[in-house]
Amino acid sequence: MKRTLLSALVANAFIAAPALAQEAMEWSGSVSAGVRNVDSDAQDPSKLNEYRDLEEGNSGIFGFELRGRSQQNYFNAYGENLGRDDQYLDLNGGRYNTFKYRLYSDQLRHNFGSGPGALSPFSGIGGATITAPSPLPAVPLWGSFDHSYKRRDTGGMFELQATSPWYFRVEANEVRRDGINVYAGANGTSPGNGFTDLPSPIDWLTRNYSAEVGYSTRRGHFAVNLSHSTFENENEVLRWSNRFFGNGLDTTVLAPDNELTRLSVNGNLRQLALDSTLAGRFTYSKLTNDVSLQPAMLSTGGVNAATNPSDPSFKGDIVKTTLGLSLNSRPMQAVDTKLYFNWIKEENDSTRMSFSPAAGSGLTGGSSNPISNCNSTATVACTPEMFEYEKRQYGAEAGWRVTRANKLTGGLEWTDIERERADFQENEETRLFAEWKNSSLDWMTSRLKYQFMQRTGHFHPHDAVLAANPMDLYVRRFDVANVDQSLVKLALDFSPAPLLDLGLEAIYKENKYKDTPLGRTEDTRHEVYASIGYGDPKSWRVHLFGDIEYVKFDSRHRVGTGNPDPATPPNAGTYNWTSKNEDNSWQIGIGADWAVLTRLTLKASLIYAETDGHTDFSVQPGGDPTPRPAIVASDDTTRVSATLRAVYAVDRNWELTAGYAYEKYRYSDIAYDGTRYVVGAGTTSSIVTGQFSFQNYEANIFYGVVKYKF
Amino acid sequence: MACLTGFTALRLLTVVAAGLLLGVAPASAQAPAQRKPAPEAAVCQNCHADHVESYLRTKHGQGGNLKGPDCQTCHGNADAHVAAGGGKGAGGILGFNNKAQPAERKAAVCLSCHQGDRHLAFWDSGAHRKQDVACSDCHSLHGTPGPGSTIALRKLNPTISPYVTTERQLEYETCTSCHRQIRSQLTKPSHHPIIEGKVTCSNCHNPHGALSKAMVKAESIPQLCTTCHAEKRGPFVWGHPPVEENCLTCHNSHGSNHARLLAEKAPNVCQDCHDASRHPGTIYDGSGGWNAATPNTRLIARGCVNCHYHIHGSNAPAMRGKFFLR
Repeated sequence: MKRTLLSALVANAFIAAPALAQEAMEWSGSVSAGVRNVDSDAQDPSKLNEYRDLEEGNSGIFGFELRGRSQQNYFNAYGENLGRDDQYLDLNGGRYNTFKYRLYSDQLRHNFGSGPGALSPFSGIGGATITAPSPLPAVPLWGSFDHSYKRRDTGGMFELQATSPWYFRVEANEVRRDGINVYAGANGTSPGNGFTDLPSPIDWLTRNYSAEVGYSTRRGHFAVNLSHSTFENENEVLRWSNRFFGNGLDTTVLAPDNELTRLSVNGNLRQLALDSTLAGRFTYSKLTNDVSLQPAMLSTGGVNAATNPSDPSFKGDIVKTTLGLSLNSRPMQAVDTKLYFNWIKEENDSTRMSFSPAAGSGLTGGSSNPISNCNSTATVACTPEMFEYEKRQYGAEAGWRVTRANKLTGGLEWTDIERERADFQENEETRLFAEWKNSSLDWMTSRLKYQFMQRTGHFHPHDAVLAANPMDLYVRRFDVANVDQSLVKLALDFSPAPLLDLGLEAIYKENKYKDTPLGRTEDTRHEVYASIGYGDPKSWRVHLFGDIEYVKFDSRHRVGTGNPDPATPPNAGTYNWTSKNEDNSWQIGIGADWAVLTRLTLKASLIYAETDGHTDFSVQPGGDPTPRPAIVASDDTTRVSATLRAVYAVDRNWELTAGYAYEKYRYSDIAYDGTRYVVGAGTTSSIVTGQFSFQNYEANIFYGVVKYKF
Repeated sequence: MACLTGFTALRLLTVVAAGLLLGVAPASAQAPAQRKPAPEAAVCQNCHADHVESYLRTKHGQGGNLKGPDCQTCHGNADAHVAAGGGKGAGGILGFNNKAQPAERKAAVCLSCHQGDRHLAFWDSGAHRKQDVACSDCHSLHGTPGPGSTIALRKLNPTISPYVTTERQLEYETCTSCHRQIRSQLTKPSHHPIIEGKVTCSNCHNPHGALSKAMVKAESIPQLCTTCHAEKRGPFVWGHPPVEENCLTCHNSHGSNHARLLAEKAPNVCQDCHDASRHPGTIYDGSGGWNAATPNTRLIARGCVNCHYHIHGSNAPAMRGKFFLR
């Protein structure tokens, strides 16, 4: 930002002050103070406190609000949860048609585990080196740690409108995240070597700045925006004792620093022929970083083996260019159309690395294949896949208001995607939709939409990939595989009587993956949501809703070292198998607001929510006859939440609030039920911290707040 | 171009705000300005006194916002309405709660002043305009902003939510009055902190229109997500193509039954793409949980990600990075 602008802004601030002093400001606001008592029963209260600061026992809750209004200016300040982990502060204001500004600070603590949900044998947690003896101490001797991180977002904005139709806008914010998150890492190089949960330091800083200049009128808009974002990680690596490799210090490479610069030019022109608006947006962004690569890694025999990178540092360089155009028109009174084009191109100009660790160093893969092995003696060194893609999308939509109460809309979209990728290099997607909206009845509006999408692709696996994993010839990854998608959406809104509103929304979505010998073969989602609202919000209103959702994923797989072709007859060692993975959820809730008396308002709500997952397996006849029991508990939860709140206005200035909330949460999952912290023994044992293993809680929350309004 | 550091920018804004505040605050001792309705709108008070009073409390009718619209600016000329003796729609008067009035007519009133505003630049291209959503469907033109807000949003129904520590009126309650099934997703076991007031719908979507699908605020999904999750931007030596192209391949941004907003639970989500002779193709069935004599390390806890943790990309060398192990 140039000094002249900086000086101007500062000067204006102090020039403005005396000018503003002539203004008569009308102030209003409130200050509030209260106490909250949380009585919870939880082995690990981190789920209760996942995004809330509900400290056990008594704690103070403080807040304020201030509004100022004058002939030309406005000012707002708001703060809540002062001094707490979820504190929120906001200050904004401006002068009408001249400028506006905002400053804010928003805090959040993301809790992942505590107590039995955060145990570890490592010392030095919170730092970049954590150590543990080998053999590990017994679990009762493990220490607990605070598995959480605090996120603090502080920022501001200033927009100058006095030069209308020109405007200038600057924004900046800084997001700090401090704490601990548990990563994990394989102990060795084979699945049988076990894994270790690794409490890792989170010390991240993201800074974002942007400046925008624009010209905006009713006839058109044009703006240029330049933004810059940096991510900094105080810790490049985490070093940890790896008992599999002689308990030496292994290295986990943490999230790298990066910088993103983006230029955006956007605009539109209105009032064109046929009542058209032409809108467009061009962006150019460049993401870079500079990472020093690890010259050696702990490996077989506890030796730090040379990794032999082709370059000591990796210079990341990804350029993304996009263009979006949209022409919205009204060629006739009852007809509206839209033509659009979107283009995205991502180019990866990062350093093309290769690694040539010595054979037998342990830094190579388990198989003898040169691609998966990263073996320097092979003809091909270990090289990454440099992903790039280009996407072009063309679309057209037309809407016809057949009658005042009926509108038909249809559209066609074609997308072509080319990728630098090991399996699918090109996809085409064709999407058609038709929608009918009806409001013939004064008390009912309905909308029905059907959409069909077909994706076809050019499956051309790289020879090197097939050499490493012959089964890849038969695998179709669902994000790019050929698929027929059907989507039906129905939405109904009824208001059959005064103050009565009914709503119904239903969604049916199905993906059938075609030409997929191995991989996801189908997924479906059905959801129905219904709601009833009755009453006058000024005095009382009740709202009831219910939602039910069924999600299913079907897939086909093959295992075994025999012929990878799934069409070949099975045997006990090589066979096909399928899984049917279901995720169901339902909720019902009711809420009520009631102005009991002029001064007394009651608010209440009750929600019951349940999730239920289940996975069934079946093996091809002739394959391994070992029974394959289903997974019955797969992220199964029940949650009951009840709130009751009374607000009493003592007089114009004083208000009392009293409230109570109850929550009960139950969780069951095969991956966490019965956690024992250690699997196996010795140097191939796996260890977990207990995260997500003790989520059940029950809590009673009482609170009272006194508010003074002025 | 010399760039302002974030902290210096914040200081600058603080100076500006403090200067304004200092300049403004001492003036509180003076008598406040009191706006009265314009003479031609005074007739409205005879029948709609409560609406006039509520209007004068809004941003439009600020005590002193003499450039703000008046009753007839938005509702139309009242002469015929009065002559007809009043009534819903009588005399061609425009009622914004009148469902019989087309959304376009209602929006045109607002756009007559606001079309040149920056945030409405792509209104014509957006899905809301196409779906006949009027400004008044979301904005409460006579309402008072809720606590902590400067914009009065419509909130017809009581809040149905688990206990939250924020007193603010949250915008998701307005959005989910139409996008109903999204409301259910927001309260799923794994969710962004939207109901807790730490993330808003407009952090990701531009409700006033955008050129991107679902009116998201970026040109692609990864660019949107890494605005907040910058640690996942990379670039990485070893990338993971579906991650780089679309985060929603594996995640459901509004809410999920599964941890980390995964659309499908691991190891299933991984095995839908990865199959091989040995462990990616192995069945991880109900016999591998913690109750087994030897729990299966590819099923318990995070599943595949127990070992392949750096699934979004890795800068570790050789096969340690190739298989996302470090």
